[in-house]
Amino acid sequence: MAIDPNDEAFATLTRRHLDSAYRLAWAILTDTGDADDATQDAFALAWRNRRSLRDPARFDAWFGRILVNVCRQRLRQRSRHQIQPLDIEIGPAIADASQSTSERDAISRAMARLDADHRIVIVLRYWADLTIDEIAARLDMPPGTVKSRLHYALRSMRPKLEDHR
Amino acid sequence: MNDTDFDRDLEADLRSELRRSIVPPPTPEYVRARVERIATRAIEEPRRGPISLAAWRGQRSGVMGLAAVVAIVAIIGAGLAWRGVGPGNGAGRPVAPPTLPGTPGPSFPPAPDAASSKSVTMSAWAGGLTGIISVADVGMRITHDGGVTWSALASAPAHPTDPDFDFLDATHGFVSSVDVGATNTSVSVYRTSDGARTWQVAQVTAPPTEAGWQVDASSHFSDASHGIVLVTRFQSDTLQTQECQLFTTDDGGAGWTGKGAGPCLGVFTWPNWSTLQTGFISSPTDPSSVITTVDGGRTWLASELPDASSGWRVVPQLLIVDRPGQLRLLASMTPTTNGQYTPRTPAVYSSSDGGATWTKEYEIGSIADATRNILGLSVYSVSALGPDRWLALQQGSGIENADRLVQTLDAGRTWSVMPSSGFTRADGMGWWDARHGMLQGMQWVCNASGSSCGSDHATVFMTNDGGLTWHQVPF
Repeated sequence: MAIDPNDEAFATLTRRHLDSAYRLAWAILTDTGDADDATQDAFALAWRNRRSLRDPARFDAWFGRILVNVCRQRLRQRSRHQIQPLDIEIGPAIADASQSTSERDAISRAMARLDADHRIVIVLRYWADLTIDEIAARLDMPPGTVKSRLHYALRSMRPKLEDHR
Repeated sequence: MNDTDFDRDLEADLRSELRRSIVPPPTPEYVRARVERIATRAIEEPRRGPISLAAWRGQRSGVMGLAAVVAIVAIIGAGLAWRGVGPGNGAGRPVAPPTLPGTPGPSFPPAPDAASSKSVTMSAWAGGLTGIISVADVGMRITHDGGVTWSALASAPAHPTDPDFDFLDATHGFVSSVDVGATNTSVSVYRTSDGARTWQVAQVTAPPTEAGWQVDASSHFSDASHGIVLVTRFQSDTLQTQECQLFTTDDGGAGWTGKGAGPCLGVFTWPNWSTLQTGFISSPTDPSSVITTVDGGRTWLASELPDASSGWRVVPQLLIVDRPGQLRLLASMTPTTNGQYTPRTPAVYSSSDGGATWTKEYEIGSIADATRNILGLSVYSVSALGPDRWLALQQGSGIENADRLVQTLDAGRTWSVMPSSGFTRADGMGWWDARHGMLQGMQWVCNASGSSCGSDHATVFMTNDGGLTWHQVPF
């Protein structure tokens, strides 16, 4: 059966971005079940809204905004229903001579206390290494607001980390 | 240690620690399979699922008699191409904004429970108050009274996806089709002149099927005799378009003639028609230009917007025909350079020579809502219901931040949020006139605990009071 060639092209784009999308969803949500669902929801939304993608070259930013929105919604639902704690799951036990376990734990606890919006900007900025403009595009907000949220997030984390300095 | 040093150290520690501690696992195969199923479902079964937005290309309203040739027309998003027809007059003079009497909406029975409702998608927009929708497990339905009553559509031509209906009125309709064969890719147009009871088909062209290349086509009829088909070939991998051709017919689609190179549609973009004669395309090859036609697509004119420059792509969103040759264009600009994502503020441009040259008039205003600014990339389906009254949809991000309607009463200078409309997601909307409109929406269904929600049950909402109230069509 023949298919709409634009849909086939769109499918190609989504396949290319699946792994990076899952990684980012997991980084934000730090929960496999949530990351599974968020990734699936984001691609479903992307397919539904695919006609709004006017420039295939900008798929990354366009889809990134959808994905981050879905993740943010799940974080808020999780917080409201207290289904999952917000703590970051510490990854594989790799020896790290430069930092103490207590300092890592302090960062994890500080992250866990951030609300969804601040947690997302932290992950996008310091884990995904996105620029301020790139984060602004994904959150659909002015760059100044991103800077403000980053500043607030860092400020709120400071007291919890100072004790470990 | 001062604050600056501390922040710098904190940022370095955060970057290091987050990379060390957040180590996502590989994408599970079941997630890969689910996403693949989503794609398959969207492509092959667009009528059945929640991700069932049909291939809305080139859909448009027909004229309601010559005297009702419209002066105000809504062009709905570059991706969606429904056209809403606002109040107008035969002379094409500007008209006063429509009144908003606040009349009640269609007298439907109460909307059924979401869990038992059928998935519904809009499929065509036609003259009068005729519309066609696709109902899961039921088939195509047609209305001639703005959605109050529906009956079965007699038949639809075989088509790989939702038929790309292109109805002029209740009797004359067209469907373009691209069918990939082993050696050739056939571009055809189906036509009916008896309200979809019978269909005839004519092949437009059949370029050779080549690996790595795909073909797309979009048809448009300016009356029952005269139509065009734009055929574009593009590379599957790079999505770069090439070989854009124009074909015309003067006998209602029975015979087609190649006219050589036509405007390139680009991938994911299709022409938008503001009247049966006037339309535009966002140029994929010349990002700073908008391409317009005033003769039903027979000739096209590429014009650069005055403040367009290298590194910016023009995204036309709304075209208003104030009178013959006098156009207004709402367009935004998105950067094409890497690392720069913030769009320019959309602006209104005017042309007094049918789109040959444009003058920037003013930038549109923001909405009084800090959470979602009208200037962002989230606004789509901009529709003009009067010279200065425009409606648009604004994308949300979930059940507590649903898609919503926003409107301006002063041609985009200021915007406000419309009352809640009963849908949580909206794919797009189309308008027969300033009061009668149809919106394809989606309901947000949560599990019992509310811990997991998702889009489900595509539905269609109707209004007959200019969007003040919306009523779900029960199926």
